[in-house]
Amino acid sequence: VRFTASDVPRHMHACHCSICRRISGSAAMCVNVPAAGMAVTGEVRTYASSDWASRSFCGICGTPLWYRLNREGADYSLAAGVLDDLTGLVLDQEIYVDTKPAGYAFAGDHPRLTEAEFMATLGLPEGPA
Amino acid sequence: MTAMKGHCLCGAVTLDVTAHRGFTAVCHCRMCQRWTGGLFICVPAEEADVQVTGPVVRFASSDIAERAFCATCGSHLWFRGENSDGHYALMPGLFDAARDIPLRSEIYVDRALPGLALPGDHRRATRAEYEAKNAHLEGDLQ
Repeated sequence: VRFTASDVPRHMHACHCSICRRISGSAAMCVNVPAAGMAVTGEVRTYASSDWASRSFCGICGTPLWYRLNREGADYSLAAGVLDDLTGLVLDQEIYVDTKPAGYAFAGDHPRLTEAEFMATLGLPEGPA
Repeated sequence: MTAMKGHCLCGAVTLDVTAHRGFTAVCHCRMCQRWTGGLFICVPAEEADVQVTGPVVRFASSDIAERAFCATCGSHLWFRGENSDGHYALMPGLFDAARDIPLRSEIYVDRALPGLALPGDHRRATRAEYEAKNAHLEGDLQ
């Protein structure tokens, strides 16, 4: 799978929700980009992980590609590691910190939101998506 | 070590682990970074102690290793390298009981995502330090 994205920010957030951990193995590191600038080729598979969001991955190697809400024009929440240029990426937020495993932590003084705090910012019901 | 059962996000793949090594390890090499989307953490377990059922896809990520995932939901399952005695490097997120397994080591620390640092006094090795001890590795991706 190959893609190009535009307006790629130099910051990422980490999600510790149960779905991100189960599908990625640990925390999901995400970079949000606008849908209008995305161009994708290759064997993309998409799994509906809830009634309001889905997760896409490469059908050949399993690499996670992005998470999207089922809204017209929703941003692509790209898996940071799939970007060719990782220069200067800064971790600026952690979400679902109340479900983060105890075995590891991320350094920094960025905001750390619980599930309830984060879902309130989206206007969605609580629960991983 | 404590036994644990796990499953992928959609539930199609199940894993029954009768014993594991009791620690997690992080790799920041470019291939692990790309394959996981950012952070590769594994919990090692011997081959004989792992039973798997379901639609597993095995991707040969190099001549010496495979990376496995669920065909339906894409959940990552494990990394296995031929030069590491065949043990499974399992993804801890599959197992509810893996939440508290302590992090013991971090390799390719100089290749970590620039904004990502894991505090703690676990062992750390740079790419050069790790590859000096593992001569079969031909170097990281760019």
